[in-house]
Amino acid sequence: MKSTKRTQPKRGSRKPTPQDAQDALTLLDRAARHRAAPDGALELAVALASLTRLVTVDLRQKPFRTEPADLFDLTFAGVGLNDGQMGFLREQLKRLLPAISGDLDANSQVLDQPNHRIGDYAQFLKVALLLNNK
Amino acid sequence: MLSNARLWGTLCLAALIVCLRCRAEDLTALRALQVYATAQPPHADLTFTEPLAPNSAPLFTLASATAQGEWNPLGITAMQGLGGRPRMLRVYYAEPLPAEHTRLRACTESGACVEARIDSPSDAAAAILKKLGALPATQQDKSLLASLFFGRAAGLNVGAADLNLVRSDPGAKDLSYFLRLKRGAASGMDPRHVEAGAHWRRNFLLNSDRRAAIATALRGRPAEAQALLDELQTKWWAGHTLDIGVKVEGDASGQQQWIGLVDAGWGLQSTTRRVALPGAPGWLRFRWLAGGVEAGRDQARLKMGADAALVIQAREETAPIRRFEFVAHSTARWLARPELGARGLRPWTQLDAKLFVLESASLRYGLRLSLQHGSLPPLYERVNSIHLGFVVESRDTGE
Repeated sequence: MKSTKRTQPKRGSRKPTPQDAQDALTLLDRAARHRAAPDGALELAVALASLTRLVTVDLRQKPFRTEPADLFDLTFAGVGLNDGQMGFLREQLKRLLPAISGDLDANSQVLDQPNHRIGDYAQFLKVALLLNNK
Repeated sequence: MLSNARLWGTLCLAALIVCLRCRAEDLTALRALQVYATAQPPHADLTFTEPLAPNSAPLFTLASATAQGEWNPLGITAMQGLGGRPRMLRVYYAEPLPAEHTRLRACTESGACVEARIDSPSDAAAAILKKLGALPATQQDKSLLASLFFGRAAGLNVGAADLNLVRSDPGAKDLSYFLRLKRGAASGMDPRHVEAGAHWRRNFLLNSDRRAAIATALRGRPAEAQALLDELQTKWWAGHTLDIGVKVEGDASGQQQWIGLVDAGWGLQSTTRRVALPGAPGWLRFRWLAGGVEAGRDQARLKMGADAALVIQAREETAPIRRFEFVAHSTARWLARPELGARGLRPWTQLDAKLFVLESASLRYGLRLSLQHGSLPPLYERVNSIHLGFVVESRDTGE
């Protein structure tokens, strides 16, 4: 997946130009019409919102908006879920992402921990979906 | 004309100012890069150190390379903010990466770059599962609740202990092991109860029709999905559970023999409800044990009960009181067969008010005021006591 490291720029590497600023806005607008494969993040946010009132999701925005805004940087316990409710979260995700329901059950003992960061859980969903689409 | 000392001093000061300005820009620079070889359409996820303004796109370039080769620039076709992740940006590029390329790099306008190794999805899955499974031991425990109490009774200083430990089985789905101990040091304060065992839990969601409708509406009909989700959020119950397990009970003093029991129950789990309090978010959740049985060689019990928890969490990290919890637990057992002379209804109620003042990465420390009333198996000794003591808990507590 990743092994991120930071480096200093080498000679000859292209630096973005002021023209790129205008191009970047065009790219954002193009993305609004881009049909992307689901990565599980939307489904995870919806599953959370169905179990706790501390999370709300606005599905009418693109991309969807959550309250709290940095939802995926929080833990499940931080939005009011305990270990008893993590099983229900997994059941809801199995309905929203039926292609990977087997992966969710097979790894339940690892996934059903409310101290997980929501973003890490979302990363698992994305990778599981990629494996399923392979 | 400036002297040499003043000239060099001015140059050094200018260099320092430039360096500080560069470091300030790096504070909002790239922090991480995630890329999956088989993602369709091809894209990479960039994480920045600060949240991005809506509809903003920082300037950067992408390039890929073999293990030791030169960087080949990638044509960026689109960029997209990600819901719930204000520090992240998804970048789409024109074509899949060449199979022999194993590295991806993103460089910002300031010239700072981050690199990522391109792994296969199977390697990525193993890596994320390893990361998820690497929680500290105290966070792996589903719940760790340990309290020591000190109080006064009949003119004496007395102590008591209350331990609740639940841990998932690492290999079997929905299977957990538990250990619960309640002891006191004086008559009228000593439930003399310990139990240990394993239970399997199956969860069943309520409102299945609405949950299924959300699944079909989610991708193509956002307004309909939003209406369904808003309606689901008004529901008080998330689902129901079926528990089946085995346990041994004892009096924690070694005077009585251990009792082996089969324990089964059916209950309802609430959603988490928001509690509106000024300055501190709070939430409420509860569980109702609608019916259960405990059966052994000489024991036949029916039981019913309920748990409720009110949690108030401070927003500020420096708040003197980090967290307040009020937890209520009640179980009523009806003994169909006499046990040590006890028969009929045997209720147990425990109310805890907990004030946490210290937190580590995995544990909380504070004070607990506890009221215990009723009796617990196997001895059913009457308890009516109020304790004040210290409490240590894992950062998340189970039921």
